[in-house]
Amino acid sequence: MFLKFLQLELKSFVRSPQFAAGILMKIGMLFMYAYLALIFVGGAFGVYFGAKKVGYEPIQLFSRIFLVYIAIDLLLKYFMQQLPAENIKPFLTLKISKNQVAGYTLVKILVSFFSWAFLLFAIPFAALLIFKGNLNLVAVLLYFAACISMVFINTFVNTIINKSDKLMYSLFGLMVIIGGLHYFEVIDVLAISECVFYGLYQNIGFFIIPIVVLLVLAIYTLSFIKKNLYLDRGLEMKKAAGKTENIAFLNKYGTLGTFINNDIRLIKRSKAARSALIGGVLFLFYGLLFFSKGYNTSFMQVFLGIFVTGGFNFMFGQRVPAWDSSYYPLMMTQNVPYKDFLKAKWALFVIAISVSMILAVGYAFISWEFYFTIFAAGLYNLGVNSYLTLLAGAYNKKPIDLNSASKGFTSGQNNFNIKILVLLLPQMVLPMAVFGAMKYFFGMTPAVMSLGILGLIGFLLRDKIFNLIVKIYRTEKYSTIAAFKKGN
Amino acid sequence: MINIHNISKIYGTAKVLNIQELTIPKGETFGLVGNNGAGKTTLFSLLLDLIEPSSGSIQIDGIQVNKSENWKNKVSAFIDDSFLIGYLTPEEYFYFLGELRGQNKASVDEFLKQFEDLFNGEILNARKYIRDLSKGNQKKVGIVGALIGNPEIIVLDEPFANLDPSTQIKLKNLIKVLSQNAEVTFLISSHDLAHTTEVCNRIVAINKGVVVKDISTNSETLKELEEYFASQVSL
Repeated sequence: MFLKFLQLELKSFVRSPQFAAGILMKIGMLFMYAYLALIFVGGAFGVYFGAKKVGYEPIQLFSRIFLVYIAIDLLLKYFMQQLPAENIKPFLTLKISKNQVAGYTLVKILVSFFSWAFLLFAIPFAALLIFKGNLNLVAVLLYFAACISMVFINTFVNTIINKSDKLMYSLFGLMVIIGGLHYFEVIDVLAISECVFYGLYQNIGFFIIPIVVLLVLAIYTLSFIKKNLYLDRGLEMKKAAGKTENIAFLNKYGTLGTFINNDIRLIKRSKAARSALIGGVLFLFYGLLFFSKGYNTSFMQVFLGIFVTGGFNFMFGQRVPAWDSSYYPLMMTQNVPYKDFLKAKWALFVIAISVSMILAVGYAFISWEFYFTIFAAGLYNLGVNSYLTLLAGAYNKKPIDLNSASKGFTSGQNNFNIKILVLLLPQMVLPMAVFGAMKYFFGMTPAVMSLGILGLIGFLLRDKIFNLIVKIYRTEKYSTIAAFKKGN
Repeated sequence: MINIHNISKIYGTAKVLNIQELTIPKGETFGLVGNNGAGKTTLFSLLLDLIEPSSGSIQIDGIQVNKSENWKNKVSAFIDDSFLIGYLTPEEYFYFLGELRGQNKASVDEFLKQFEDLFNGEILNARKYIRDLSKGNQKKVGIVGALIGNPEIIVLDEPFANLDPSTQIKLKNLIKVLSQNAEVTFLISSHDLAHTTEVCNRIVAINKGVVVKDISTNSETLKELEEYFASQVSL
């Protein structure tokens, strides 16, 4: 039976839209996975060789950060790992025992990227410890067996509590409190982590504890999945009560207001859109990279600025028509000229960029110059990039399933389209070059003004630019409708 | 008036639709019947400019649908669930459509009163998003949504499918009443020969993309259609 499941999985993988994509996209995806893998492997080398520099033994340093890693791992899993419900339903009425279905589900979850990504770090790190550090082979292996168990415990914990919002929020609340206590130096989380895990290494007999917990949890999770193999329990999405909402003051703005009202409801009520919004908000913190090497030229700081003010654009705007993919035919047959439809989307970008520009004032505490750079980048985003993002959307034909959270985060990356890459040039390289040159030759104020002027020009030309964008959308309309249909 | 002129649609090597000339005058209640794959949805999609014709054109009141957008204020359609916005409540959906068609909240509320029986208390004030309604209720939302704003042309693709028996009868009566208005043109496709014959004053049957019957509905029409489709079976 398991072999049959495996065959189905293989077919699903080979026939998935990502796999069937053009060669460029496959290369792009390979690059992405390779990049992620490299981060983990590189991390292993980084921790091992960097440990001495900060005054710790490698395994000690690792133990210090492991608790934090586990916490972040659980967080990520909450957002991105879900019970593969749609795949399970067809099996329920066939001659397959519930045990087998539950077992298959569990294996499916375990085999996901999140589970074995840690191994990419653990194996090279362990190898370094054993062969270069000359540590006891058995001790190291048992230690990592315990650590890997912790990661899988996370997987199981997430599977069990993912549906229960209350449990999840209390857990996160706990994490926030602990984080706060650490920040205010009431407790030292790293020291606790070191105590627990390094202590584990030093008293290796204790390795058995996580493994036992893991086995117990595994059995419990299996029976949990089995208990929830009902259409009115684990296999159906929670149906929140529907509230009829309306932001009244937007009604003054006619069609524009109507569409913005709708998009706000879209973001509030769809998992995928919410993930994108959270991603966009996280970009506000991207500017903190200011502190790392490589970002101390004004050239690179513009890069940061564009992302800080344009994070929402990047996560949400790039896929603008795609958010409406499940009802695109409705939008296309309504009495709304294409131009007004696109203008309403553009208005959303403008609002998001402006809000980001205001919120970014926090960076002024680091340096006024840095904030002005961010502000200038924001002006450029407003006047130029907002159109380019909209334009890129015309070529984005991947439909979005609004009810699936993980797709909201990752599906943006699966869009390596040559046209989108080309549009990146004026979106990022151009303002960086202009700003850098102006600052070098003329100083800060002219540099900020130059980006501002470019933005203003873009804003003044908006009618002409919109006509151009509408023309392109019209040309792509039929293929877009057809592509969106496939996804549903 | 809808003019379909030399329309064809080719996918790969298959010609799924081929209609030389078809005119639908204003006020007609036009029924389109045919087996699966006959081309009904294709024809409606071409009419709404959702797909491109391989040849020919469709004109609504002289406006060619793939050249101008001005026909959109005359036409209202419900084809499939891609015409529903899942994350809205039915009220929000109705108000949304109303706003786009120049109807304020009050007039939409007034308009919805006549559907109280049809909705059976499960749709308005039900505190559910459209995506959480049953398929039949979703259909009701879609069909009523298409009627908001007094459109001149209403296109419904298989409206009777998936509706329970009582609702089918209610819908039939509803369409009969609305189609008495000579200003309103209905285009309905259906698998249900009985319902279509009762409701439509003209029925066109297509098979493999080609018009095989064009009848002005009379008492013999149902029998005629049934005999035609029965003959298709023994082939």
